[in-house]
Amino acid sequence: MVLMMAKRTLGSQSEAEDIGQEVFQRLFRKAKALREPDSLRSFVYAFTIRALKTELRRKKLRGWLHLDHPAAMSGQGWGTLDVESRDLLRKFHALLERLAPRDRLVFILRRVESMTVEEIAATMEISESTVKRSMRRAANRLSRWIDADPGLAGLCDAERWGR
Amino acid sequence: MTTTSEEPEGSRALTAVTELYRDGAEPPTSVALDRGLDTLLAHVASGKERRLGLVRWSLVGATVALCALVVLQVASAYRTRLPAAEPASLTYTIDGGSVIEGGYLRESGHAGMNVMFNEGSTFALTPGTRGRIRVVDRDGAHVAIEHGTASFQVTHGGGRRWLVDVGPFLVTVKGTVFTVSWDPLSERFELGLRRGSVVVSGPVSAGEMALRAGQRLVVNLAKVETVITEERPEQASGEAAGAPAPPEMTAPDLRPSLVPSQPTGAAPSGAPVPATVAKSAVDHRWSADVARGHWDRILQDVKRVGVEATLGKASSDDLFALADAARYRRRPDLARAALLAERRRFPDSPRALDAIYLLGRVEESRESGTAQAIAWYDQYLTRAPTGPFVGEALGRKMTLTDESEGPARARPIAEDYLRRFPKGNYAGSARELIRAP
Repeated sequence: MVLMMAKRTLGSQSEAEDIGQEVFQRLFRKAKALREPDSLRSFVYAFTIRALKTELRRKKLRGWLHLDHPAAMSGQGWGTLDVESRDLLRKFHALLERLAPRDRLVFILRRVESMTVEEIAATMEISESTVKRSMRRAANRLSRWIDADPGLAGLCDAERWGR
Repeated sequence: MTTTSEEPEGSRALTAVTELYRDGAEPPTSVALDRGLDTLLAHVASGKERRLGLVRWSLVGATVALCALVVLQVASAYRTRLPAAEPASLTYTIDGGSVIEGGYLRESGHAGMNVMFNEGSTFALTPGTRGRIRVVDRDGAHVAIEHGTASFQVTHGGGRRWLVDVGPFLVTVKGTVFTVSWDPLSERFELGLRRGSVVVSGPVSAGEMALRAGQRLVVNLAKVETVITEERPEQASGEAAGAPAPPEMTAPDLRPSLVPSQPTGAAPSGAPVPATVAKSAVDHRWSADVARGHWDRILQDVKRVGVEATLGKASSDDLFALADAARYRRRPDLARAALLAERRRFPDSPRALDAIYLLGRVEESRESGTAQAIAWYDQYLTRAPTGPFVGEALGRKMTLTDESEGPARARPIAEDYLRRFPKGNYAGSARELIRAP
C-alpha cells in the first residue's frame, strides 16, 4: 500500500522505495506510541502522506534552486502496459509535476487512491474545504492542460481505452 | 470511484488517464519487498549507534546547508538575470518596407519585403503582396496575408505559437519552411510545405488538414476543389505561385476510394511523384481518420479491400496511416506488416526511415519483442543519425536495455542520451539510471 501510493504520487520506483524505508523506519521508532492496534492502518497512512508531502515540497524547492530538473516518470514498475500507454502516463506525470505539491497530493489521494475528502483532511491535517478547493484546482488545471495538448487529448480518447 | 457533486470530474480525458494511472502501476514483487525489509532491518540495527553522531553532525550539516543555500540563491539570481537581459517578447525588423497603422506592411520599393524576427524566424512577401502583422508578443506571432504570396521560415522553439491567416484560411505552424499564396479574385489558396508540418483550417470540406513536408495544398473555393499533391520535400520549392505545378488530381469532396498506386521508388530522382499524387484523396482521409481517432474506420476499409491487396497497392501515406491505426488498436501484426510493406515498396522515401523506428515501437508491444525492438532502434540510430525520432529511439533503447539487461548496460546509453538531449523526454529516467547504485 505504501509503495503503491508513493509510486503513483512520485512516479518513480526508486523514490517510492525510499519513501517506504522512511515510513517504516519512522513507524518502527514510534510503534510504542501506538495504543490501538486497529489504528495501525491510519497510522501508516498518516506517516506515508506526511513523508510524501515533505518529499514533494523538497522536490519543488530543489527545482526552484535549480538543483534538480523535473524528472520524467521512470519506466520501472509499469511493465504490463504497452508502450503507448506508458508514453501517455509519462506525459500525464509531467503534468502532475506542474501542480503545486498540496494540489498534486490531494488529487492523487482522492482520484487515484480513492480516499474520501474527510480522510484526506484528517491525514493531511487541513480542512475539508481546503481539500475540496485543492481538488477543484488540480482537476481544472489538469483538464485544461490535457485539452490544450492535442496529442494527449487524442490519446486519452475514451474510445481508445474501450470505455 | 465516484466524486461528489461539489467536485469537478474534469474532462473525460482526465478521467480516462487517471484510471489508467491508477490501474497501470504494478504491485511490488515479493523479491522487492524482501529486499526492502532487509534494508529496513539493517537501517534499524545501525540507527541506535548512529543517533548521537547524527545529532552532532546534523548541527554541522544545518550550518553548512544554510551557507550553501545563501550561495545558491545568489548564483540562482545571477543565472536568472542573464536570460532576463534578452527581450521577453518577439521583436522584428523589416527590410524593404515598414509597418503602418493596423500592422499593415507597406512596401517601400518594388522588390518585396523581408521581416526578420529576433528568434530566427523570417518571412518574405513577394512584390505587391499585402500582408499584416496582427500580433507579436512573448507567446508568438500572428500574421495575415490578404493577397499575394509569402514565404515563411519559422524557427521552432520556446513554445511559441505561429499563426498565419491567409484569406479565409488559418495556418497553424510548427517549426517549418513553407510558402502560401491567396488570390481573393479567383479565391485560390495555395500552400507548399518544404519542411516541418502545418495545420490548415478554413472552408475545406474536411475541416482541419494536417500537411507534411513535401505536400502542396491547393484550394479553389470558386470551383469547390481541394487538391493535395506530393513532391519530394526538396522539390517543394518556395515559389508557390511561380513554380510549375506538379500533376494534380482533383478531390472535390475528399471521399475515400482505394485507388491502387505505383511505388514512388520507381520514379526518377527529382521528378514529381505521381503515385502519391494519385492517392491524395485517400491519403488525406486516412490521415485525418488517424488524427481524429477513427482507427476502426481504417481497419474496416482494409477488411473490405483485403489485407494483402492493401499492403500491395496502398500509397506510402496510407500504409503509414494503417500502421498507426493498427498500433492504436493493439494489432501489432498488422502494424508490422504495414511498416514492412512501406520499407519494401518505398525504400527511398524518408518514411522508410521513420518506419524503422516505428517497427521498434511495434516490437515493444509484442511479447518477447524487446531484443528485436532494440535492434530496430539501433538500425534507426545508424541510418538516420539526425532523424526526427533519434531522441525517442535512444530513450526507448535505454529503457529497454535497462529492463532486459540491467542498469549497468543501460548507463552508457543514458549518458549518451543526456549529453544529446539534456531536456528530453527521457532525461529524468536517464538521470535516475545514472544515480542508481
